[in-house]
Amino acid sequence: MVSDRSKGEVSNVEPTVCWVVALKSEAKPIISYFELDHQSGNNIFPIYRNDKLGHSLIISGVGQINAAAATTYLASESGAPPWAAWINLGIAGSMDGEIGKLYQGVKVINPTKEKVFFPGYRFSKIVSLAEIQTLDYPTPVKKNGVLHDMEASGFIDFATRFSCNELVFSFKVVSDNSEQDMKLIDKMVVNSLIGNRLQQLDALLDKIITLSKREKQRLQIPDEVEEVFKQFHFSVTMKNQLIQRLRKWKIQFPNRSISDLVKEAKTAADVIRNIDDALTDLKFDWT
Amino acid sequence: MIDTIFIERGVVNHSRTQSIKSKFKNPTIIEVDRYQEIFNKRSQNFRIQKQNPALILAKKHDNFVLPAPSGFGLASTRNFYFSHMYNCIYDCRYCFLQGMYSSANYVIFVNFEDFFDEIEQSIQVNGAQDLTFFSGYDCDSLAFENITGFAESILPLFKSYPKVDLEFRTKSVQLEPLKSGLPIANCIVAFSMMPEELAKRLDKKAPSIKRRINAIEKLAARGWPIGLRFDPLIYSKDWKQLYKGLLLEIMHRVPREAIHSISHGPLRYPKKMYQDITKLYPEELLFSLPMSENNGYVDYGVDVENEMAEFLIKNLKNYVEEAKVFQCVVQA
Ligand code: SF4
Repeated sequence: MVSDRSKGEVSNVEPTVCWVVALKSEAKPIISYFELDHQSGNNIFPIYRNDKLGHSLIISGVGQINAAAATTYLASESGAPPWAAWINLGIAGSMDGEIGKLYQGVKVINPTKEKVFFPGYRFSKIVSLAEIQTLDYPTPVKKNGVLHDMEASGFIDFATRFSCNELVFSFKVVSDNSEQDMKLIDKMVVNSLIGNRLQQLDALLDKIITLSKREKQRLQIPDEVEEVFKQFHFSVTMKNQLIQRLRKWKIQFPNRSISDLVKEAKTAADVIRNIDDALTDLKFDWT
Repeated sequence: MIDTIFIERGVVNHSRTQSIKSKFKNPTIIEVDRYQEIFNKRSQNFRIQKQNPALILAKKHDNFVLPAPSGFGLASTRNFYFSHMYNCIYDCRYCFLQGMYSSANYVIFVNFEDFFDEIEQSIQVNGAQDLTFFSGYDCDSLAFENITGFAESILPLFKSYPKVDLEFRTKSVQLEPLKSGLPIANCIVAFSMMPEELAKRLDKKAPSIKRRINAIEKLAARGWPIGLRFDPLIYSKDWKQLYKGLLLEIMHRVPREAIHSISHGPLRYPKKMYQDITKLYPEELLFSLPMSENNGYVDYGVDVENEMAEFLIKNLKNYVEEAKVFQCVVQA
């Protein structure tokens, strides 16, 4: 049974999940499962979104350069926050992998073997882990336990510039192996290979969204701070000082409003001083 | 439980790699060229990794033994440290490792013998006395012992240098190989301690103070020299009462003859490390309490530090002689 997420019943936009998928046939099951709408007006890379669920998907085309470019494009188009999860989903070749099985790439090597990545929090209880070798041309795999794809390394190289390494994932479904030729793969086959893994992807997404939410809590600047920024002129350094201090202040006084500290202030420096005073007075009560 | 082991190609067939691997049930094994490929990389997130650390088995190539930072040692003229492991299975909120590394994966260097060779060389160069070697600077010395067997391997070396001290610093109550082995007078088992009320909040995933005291009691009864490390000293509204309670419990349970040394040190971070750790745990109460920057360090300030140190020394007076009590304040 698929979760309610697919029916659009969750109303909050965050956390954002950004999908980078090479082919339309690979993306189709995701587009329909999450009810993503095509965004008109951009022709380079088609983008699909469901703002209600916070999902964005870009179709990159084949190859690591396309994957890197599409990732960057989606980051700027969607304004993905640093707590967004980035997922590269697609098919991959294997030597010994079972056709249709889903893997999480935990080691990804680029075509020239100059770059190696270890992306993503590992979900070994839900999905098997594998090494992915990204190549420039489709090539049969000659080593057990290794998958061949054409996008993962380009995607990871760039996605880790927008979110932390642990929120960047590459999931691959085995489409061909030493017993089944890659020439037999057509759009219909790809569609069903991915479509058959939706339930497993949904379980992964549950965990990924939890991680992303926690990162959001850690990184998000509270709305109240934005309000204070509007009232006084803060330099960049002072803005950082205010954010840091307000976080501490909120831990100590979770039920008080920041307006208490701003009321008497005439300048940005006054606001910071007020918070410092409130924090210095503390009695270090741990118990 | 470890689900993934990354192994440097060069140590895949090392006997210790095989033995460590065998301790885990069906881990995914991934080969790497060098551990630095995966450890401590740009954009890694310590906090997320800490929820499910992987194990990395590697070979260390140099700098096996390093001079301890000033203010770290005890009475010896020269203090050294070594780290056969980076990172720790516990998750103490004040731990400096979380500010030092962007990665929470555990690195174990399997070439223990190279550490032992360099330790022996250091002993030969510096003379076989007035030296202390500290294990557990970048990890907990004993917490992973059932996996690594490091303590068991190193003890015979120090047995043959009776005037050179070895300190295992730990919060672990996993007592083998110490409990079943004969005590070695120059091998000190040093436990990090703080009042239970504070440890409950801060020493996450580590054994409770009650269990640590039980472990100390057992090792003391076996004859192992015990170190007590009140480091860091944590300030609170009722710190005097809390620390007094802890000291009384220890004095009641651990015979004074068993005590090799007691050290204490303030909670103190280099400024950049403090900023990194507070960014990692912005909701943490410990970092919301007033600390100030002094000479590039963030700490409680000299008055609080002195007051706490003096309190401890005064309350230990009737327990051990003053010469056994040391203040450890790491300086830049
Ligand atoms: S036991 Fe020591 S090394 Fe381990 S987390 Fe705690 S402070 Fe850090």
